[in-house]
Amino acid sequence: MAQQSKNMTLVLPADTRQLLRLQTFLEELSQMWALDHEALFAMNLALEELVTNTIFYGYADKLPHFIQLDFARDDSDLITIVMTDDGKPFNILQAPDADSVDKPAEEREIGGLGIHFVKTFMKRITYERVNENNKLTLWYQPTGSSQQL
Amino acid sequence: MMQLITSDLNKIKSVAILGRLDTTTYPSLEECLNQLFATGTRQLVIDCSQMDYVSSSGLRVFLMMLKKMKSENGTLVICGLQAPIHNVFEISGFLSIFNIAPDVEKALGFFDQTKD
Repeated sequence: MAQQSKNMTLVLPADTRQLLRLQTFLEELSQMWALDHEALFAMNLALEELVTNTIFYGYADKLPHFIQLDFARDDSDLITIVMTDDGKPFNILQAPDADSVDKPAEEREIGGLGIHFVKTFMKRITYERVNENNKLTLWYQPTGSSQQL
Repeated sequence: MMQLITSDLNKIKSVAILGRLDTTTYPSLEECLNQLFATGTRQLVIDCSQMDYVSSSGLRVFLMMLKKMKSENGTLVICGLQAPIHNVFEISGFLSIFNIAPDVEKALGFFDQTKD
């Protein structure tokens, strides 16, 4: 039964024109796992930021690349997302966080904001460089409460 | 998918964003706002009541427009943020740099209606 599927994988071409596939996949996943809008929003945002970051800055060549996203859910509804890409080494945990969130508008730069979202929405993050791949593991805990809307 | 609806409220322009403002859709909003700015718009409401997703690519466009408007003494008001997007604005520190209103009607209170 689809309801009992605890693992899902998406292999995404590293191309921003393919981002709709991420959105569609997450919508299906959240239906299957009965996740609320808040969970779908948070995962979509964190993953869009990570995937676009890799697409924009991760590759030194023009060859086609793929980003793999493995999703698993345990009995306490904790969701584990493993993102694997063959881009340049990039450890989000060592990346500068958005340091400008308190500055006035004129001094604000948007850089780092995506990473700030990932760190804010995810419960825990680990990074490894494995066989020339970046392997980022994210844990997301849905609140379980119904929508704020 | 994203749709933009531009309208005139007297001397004030409004742009309603419908759908998702993300890495794939932000260029059309950027183009629309640049066009309004280039043609003299200095009083602008961005209505987000039907926008159900935003990422940093979209926030970048809002910030770009805010800087432009401030440089010309203009006024930009963002209204109708849905709860998850309000949360993203809060995390970004955007609530303190933008004029935020619950809806278009309240957004109009930010403008000096006697100004050209």
